[in-house]
Amino acid sequence: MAFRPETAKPLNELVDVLLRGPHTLTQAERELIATYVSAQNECRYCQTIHGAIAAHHLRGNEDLVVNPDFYRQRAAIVARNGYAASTIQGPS
Amino acid sequence: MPHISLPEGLPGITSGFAFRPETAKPMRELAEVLLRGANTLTSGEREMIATLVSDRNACHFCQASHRAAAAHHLGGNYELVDAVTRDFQSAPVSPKLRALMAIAAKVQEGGRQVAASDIERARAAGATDVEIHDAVLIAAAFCMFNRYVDGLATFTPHDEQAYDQMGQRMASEGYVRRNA
Repeated sequence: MAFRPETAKPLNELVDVLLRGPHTLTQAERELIATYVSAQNECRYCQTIHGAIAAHHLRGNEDLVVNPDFYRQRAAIVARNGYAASTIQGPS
Repeated sequence: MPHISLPEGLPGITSGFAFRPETAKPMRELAEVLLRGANTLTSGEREMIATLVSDRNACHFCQASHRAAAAHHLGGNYELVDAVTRDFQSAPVSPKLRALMAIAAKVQEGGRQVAASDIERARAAGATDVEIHDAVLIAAAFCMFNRYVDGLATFTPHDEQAYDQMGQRMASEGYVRRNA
């Protein structure tokens, strides 16, 4: 991003719209999707950073993202049944 | 038939762009910078990299439209573009572009497939770090565009004439325009 600001600008704007723009999915839910895809792509940097951001949105519920097995199981439930059917949500 | 209610009659990615202008804007701008922005690689060379990646992702809309855009940048030379998708290693392109295409092809398989030796080969052929960066990002961005187009099952025309006209507009007017 720092190396090539010309391409960084639209990339940052795209991520901002997708993950932080007004949406019916929460920011945490969208960050979890990003984290899950990054994990499936075995991109450690993206998985870790978006996992940490998701955890932040989930008010520190890091169990959802820092334990890969736990996280993958939950993400699989989300992928299969959607968020309403899953147990992924911030602590109340 | 598209998986969601996309505007009818718009081909491929343009239907997703019309459906969701908020995401369309940065995606269009990214394509514009990567394929038409100031660069030591020609637009024809960059469109051929985009075509190669789209072909390997089996995204017919992206492959056919960028094939046409590349050909228009190259004075109508569809033969060269097709030689690249058939086998870029034997296609009559410069050693530098061939090495950058090898990197793009690795990125299409998975980012961590790119080896230090691939980068060394590109540098030895005269590629700059910006050119290597852009080859990687064009490949990565087209993996995104390809999956976006096919993940929504957007309308894919099978009329080659339509793609020729599309490519002509992409080459001459670019990706950031009012109605595309």
